[in-house]
Amino acid sequence: MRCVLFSLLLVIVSAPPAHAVVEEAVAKRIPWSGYWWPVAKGELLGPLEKYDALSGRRAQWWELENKPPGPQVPSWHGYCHGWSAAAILEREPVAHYVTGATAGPGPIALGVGEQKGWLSAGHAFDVANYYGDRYGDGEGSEDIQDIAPDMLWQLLKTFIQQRGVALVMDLDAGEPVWNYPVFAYRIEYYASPVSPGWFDGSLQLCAADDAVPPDYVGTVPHLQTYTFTFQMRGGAVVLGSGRWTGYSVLNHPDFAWYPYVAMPENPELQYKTVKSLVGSGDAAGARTNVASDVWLGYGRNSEAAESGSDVPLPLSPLQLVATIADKTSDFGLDAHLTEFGRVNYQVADPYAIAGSTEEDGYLYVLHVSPDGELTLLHPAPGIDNRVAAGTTFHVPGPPANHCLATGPFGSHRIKVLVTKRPLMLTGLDRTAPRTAIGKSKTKPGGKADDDSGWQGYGFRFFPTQHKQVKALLTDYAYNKSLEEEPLAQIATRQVLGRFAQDEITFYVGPPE
Amino acid sequence: MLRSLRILLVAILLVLAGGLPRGLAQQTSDNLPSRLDELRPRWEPGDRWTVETASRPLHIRADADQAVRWSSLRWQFEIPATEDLSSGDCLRVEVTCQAEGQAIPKTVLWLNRDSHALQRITTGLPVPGGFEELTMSYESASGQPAPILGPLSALPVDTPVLYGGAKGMQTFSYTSHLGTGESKALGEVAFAHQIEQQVTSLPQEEVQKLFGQHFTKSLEDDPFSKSLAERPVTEIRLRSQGREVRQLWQERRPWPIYCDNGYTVSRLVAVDCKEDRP
Repeated sequence: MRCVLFSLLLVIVSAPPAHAVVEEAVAKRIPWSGYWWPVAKGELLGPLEKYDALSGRRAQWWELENKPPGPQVPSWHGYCHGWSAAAILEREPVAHYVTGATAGPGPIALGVGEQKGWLSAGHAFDVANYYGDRYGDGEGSEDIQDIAPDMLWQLLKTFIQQRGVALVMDLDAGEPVWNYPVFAYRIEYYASPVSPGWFDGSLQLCAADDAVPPDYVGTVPHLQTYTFTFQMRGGAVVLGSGRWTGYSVLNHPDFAWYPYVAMPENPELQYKTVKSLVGSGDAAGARTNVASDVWLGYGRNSEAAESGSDVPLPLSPLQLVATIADKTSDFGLDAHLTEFGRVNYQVADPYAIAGSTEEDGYLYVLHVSPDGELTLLHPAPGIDNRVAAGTTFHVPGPPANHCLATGPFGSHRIKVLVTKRPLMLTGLDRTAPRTAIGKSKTKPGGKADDDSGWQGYGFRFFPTQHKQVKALLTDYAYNKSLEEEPLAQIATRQVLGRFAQDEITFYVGPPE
Repeated sequence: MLRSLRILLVAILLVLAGGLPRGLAQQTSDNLPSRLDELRPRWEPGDRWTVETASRPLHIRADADQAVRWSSLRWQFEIPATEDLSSGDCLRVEVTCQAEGQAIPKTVLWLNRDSHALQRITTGLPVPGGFEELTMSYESASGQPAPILGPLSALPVDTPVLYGGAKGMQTFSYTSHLGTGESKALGEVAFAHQIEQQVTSLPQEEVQKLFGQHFTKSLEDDPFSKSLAERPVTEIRLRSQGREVRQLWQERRPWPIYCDNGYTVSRLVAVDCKEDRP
């Protein structure tokens, strides 16, 4: 009961004033999720080989000559820019097909991923309209506050609200460029109680995510949340007055762009040929008739978050961290290691989790390492994670029968959550489960062999965000209070509705 | 000190008497074009000109040799007619890309016939199967014409104010809003811009250096480019919200002979205008 009262108090304290103005919009066409084709791994070479076989060109050769894969390539270099442009400008390839060619190489099977790879390469050098200055390239203002929130707001209004089209943003404020096609936003703002003429605002952006396998079809939302302040005069936002606040000072979009003229970078790959080879695509377009909460979650409408809908609710990385740090529950939940009383483990020791909940819900089990790295132990993407009240759950589920303790040495935490709606965790890397230490056998589809330890799925956060999340979760792992952080302003009940949580702590040390 | 004052006094007297000798004028940073309004193009329906652009791919990885890989395109600007907007008589300027086999949107600008201020711009945003039209309208805060930074960086559509009263460094303000209305709809959020315009003269050697940095054809390579070297050049810099646009203007030219907006560099490559026709 005390927890419930405390939760209510938190909602009241952290809710924005009642007179907040809300503006939100979703693009008419939702961009599709696609793989980012890291250059270091040379994964685009396979699709290009098939392109060459069908077109008689030498695109794979050019790629190898000009972008040789290997450890010398920075790990973040890839084709996220080509995918982002293609996801906005092109219909999504949704089906595998076999070319009818009988001459030359004969029929060739083309997967969705290969078609998406060609489209990404076909847009790799698009002429674009840019907004804001790229940080760290030695050109322009090199102002870390750029792109300013007021300028970004104007772009969101222009592109998404007025014209209903998505636009691309480099979401990492630092030197690396992590492009995403952003297609939905919500801004809530209210007059500053202390500075006349000034307003405090929050911004939610939703993009299509690229942490998906190449053959993935559909849109995985990538939600980000920001805070800012700005000035208004005569009903107009004073451009130049906007400033990021809180965590957003260092973690905000860097620049935005909209592709204007399609151009491949690889001269052996022709855009027209790609268009003729790719299937007709999803003519109906992505899901545009769904409610905005599917992409943006809920703002101040916390009652809606508690609805019985089974449509996943997107959660931004900061909202997830705030939820992990929240130690209050709305109903009973008990979780424990199956080896009662054991708190000391060595690397590669097996462990498993069991528990029960007082109410039906959706079960999430997250592991936080001593250095703040986050792993989702349950559920694997696509797995039904509903749990019924009063029944016992086990993690990991079949075919794996245990998880493996991993380094680094120190205090490890397991956070167990039961929510009333399923969640869509931003950045969850759906491409493959983490490799088990010493035992790397996994079956196709990401299922672990029953004799290997389950390691769960990692998260693909861009560097600035990764650093921020790691710092917060390291504090959490060492039981430091996060109440002084701006994190405490995130009202988890508003975001999630009612939920229950429990924690397990164990220590991983060196072998004796 | 006394000697400096004497030189300054002589310089002022020379300016009042009709201008400094040209060489001295180019070396004096605060010497401004005395007849800025003569830079204002004499646009007429039927005028056409061509602009070449080279865009820097900002979104690709930084280690690529971007200097040799700027994407180059040519755009034709044409004035088919005048149009009467409620803000006044405007010249309609249509911009089409000359690249073959590409679906590239057309852009239309409406420029006030008297002040040459940008009133409205419409362009197409490429989407699957076509274009989505985007329109922005602009309104000067004081009623006086203001320089405007357009919503596109791939195309040089930023407009300065070119009249005799504009000189040195000046600050202007304007509001922009979405759609074709002359003013924002009730309850709609508009955006108020402050913009600085700085006007200076620029020596020819500096002009040649700028052209040579981005375009393979320098001022001497073709007859039109060569003709650009025959007239004095005025530099106009527009600054707003951390963005700077640098334009070079010449008398009797319909558009800047050179423009760098931080993302795209452009140059005027051909002109077919009434005032230049024999």
